[in-house]
Amino acid sequence: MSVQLPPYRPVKHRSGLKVMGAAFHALLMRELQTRFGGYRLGYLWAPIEVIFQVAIYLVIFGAIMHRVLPGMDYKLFLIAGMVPYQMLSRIANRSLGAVEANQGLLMYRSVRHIDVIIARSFLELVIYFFTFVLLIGLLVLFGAFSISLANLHIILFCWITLFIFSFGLALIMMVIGYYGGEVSKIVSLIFTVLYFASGIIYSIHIVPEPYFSYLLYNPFIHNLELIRHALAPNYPAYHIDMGYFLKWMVGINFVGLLLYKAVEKDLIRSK
Amino acid sequence: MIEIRGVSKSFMTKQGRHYLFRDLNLTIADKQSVGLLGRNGAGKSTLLRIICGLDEPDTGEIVTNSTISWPVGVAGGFQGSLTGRQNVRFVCRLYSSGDYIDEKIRFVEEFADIGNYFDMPVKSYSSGMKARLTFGLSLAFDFDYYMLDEAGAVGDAAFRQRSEQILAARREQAGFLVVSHNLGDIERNCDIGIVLMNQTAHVFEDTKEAIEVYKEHVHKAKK
Repeated sequence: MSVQLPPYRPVKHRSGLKVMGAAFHALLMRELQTRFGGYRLGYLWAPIEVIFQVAIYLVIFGAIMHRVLPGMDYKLFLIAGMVPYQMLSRIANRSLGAVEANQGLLMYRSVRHIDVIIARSFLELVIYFFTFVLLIGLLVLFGAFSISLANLHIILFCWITLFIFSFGLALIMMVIGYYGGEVSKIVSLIFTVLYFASGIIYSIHIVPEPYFSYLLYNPFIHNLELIRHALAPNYPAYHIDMGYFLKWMVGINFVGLLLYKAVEKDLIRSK
Repeated sequence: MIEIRGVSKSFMTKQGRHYLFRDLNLTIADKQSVGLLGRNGAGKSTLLRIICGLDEPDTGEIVTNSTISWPVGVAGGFQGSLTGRQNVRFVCRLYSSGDYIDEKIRFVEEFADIGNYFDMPVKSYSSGMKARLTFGLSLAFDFDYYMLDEAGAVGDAAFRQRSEQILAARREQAGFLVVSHNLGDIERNCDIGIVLMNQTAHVFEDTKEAIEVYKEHVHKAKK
């Protein structure tokens, strides 16, 4: 049996952006198939995970927080903080081992480390944003709480800026994970601390001064609190400084891209 | 044309720095088939990876304006939990525009000829099936150069015959860099031979001569 070659269409020289776009598309589709193809519940795993955590904290802190939380339902408070934070920590933590994990993909020249990071981060954004909308939508539908629809653009803005922040962080994490050795273990620890220092399960308003001001140095708090304020306008906003978060975002991306550019060649060099 | 200019590559070992090659200079002309010979560990695969841009040399550079395939080996960079078709589609998305993907996939399916396995996860494949798939996949694209690292030397008689046919057609349009321990293959199919030994590359216009030198080198190393 003889097989016919497909018609001659030489592989073209493309501009860098086109190559990157093709790599992004291909990687995204591949990630989608890999991540969810193997599980029966597929895409639902992300919401289920969040629901589980929300349920736990509701049982533990529900009664207390109900009394001290200003102007917001505790369930909504939890979801509004937890889902975006999980996106961030997922993107950052997965990047720690990215260089080794990507080895198989990098045998195709048009795939670079940064493409894989972009595709994976973007997928996390989609998954967690979908989770966010789904959970809040369902709970509003069942009358668990009500939300304000006046500030949806602000919520979207917060998500996108948090995503960009996460991307810059992911680049830094990838470099740390590759060169850092044991430092990467400490990074995981830091994220656990940050989880509790970002006001995810408690409102930072119950923290007294001067610790309240210290907490505000944490950039995530400003983003998460703004999401909460946008969802429930009664939730206080006097402490939020989005400009501060945006400065961090630009700084982190600057450092991340710079680091990546500096070590890009070294990442693929066999030693 | 591919120009290899002053490329050195070394690895750090416990005994100190080990050089694979120092200041390597080579030019591979368009549509030239090159047989790459050398003992195990001489740096054949590393050289292919450097030419493909997947590894960085210590010094020197690769200058080329040609399109080069990925190093086609026996295993292939497949994701085990995805089916053969999904893996093939992934690579097609990287190298081809959307309109032609279906004809590429059809070719790979026919060429690899692994039946229903094409739609099953790659982790259920035998190594022979994987090799057939990755070889077919690389031949589906019209590169200027193909880098074959012990690829294609698998499969039954029918598959081999099919490979020969397609390779012959490809040789009209493209260059090859072939790493193989099958000396007969190299003698038959290659225009020039390069022997990697003593940290440098020896180029022979006649593949027979290259094979002789290579055999002698291996023989000497044994003693």
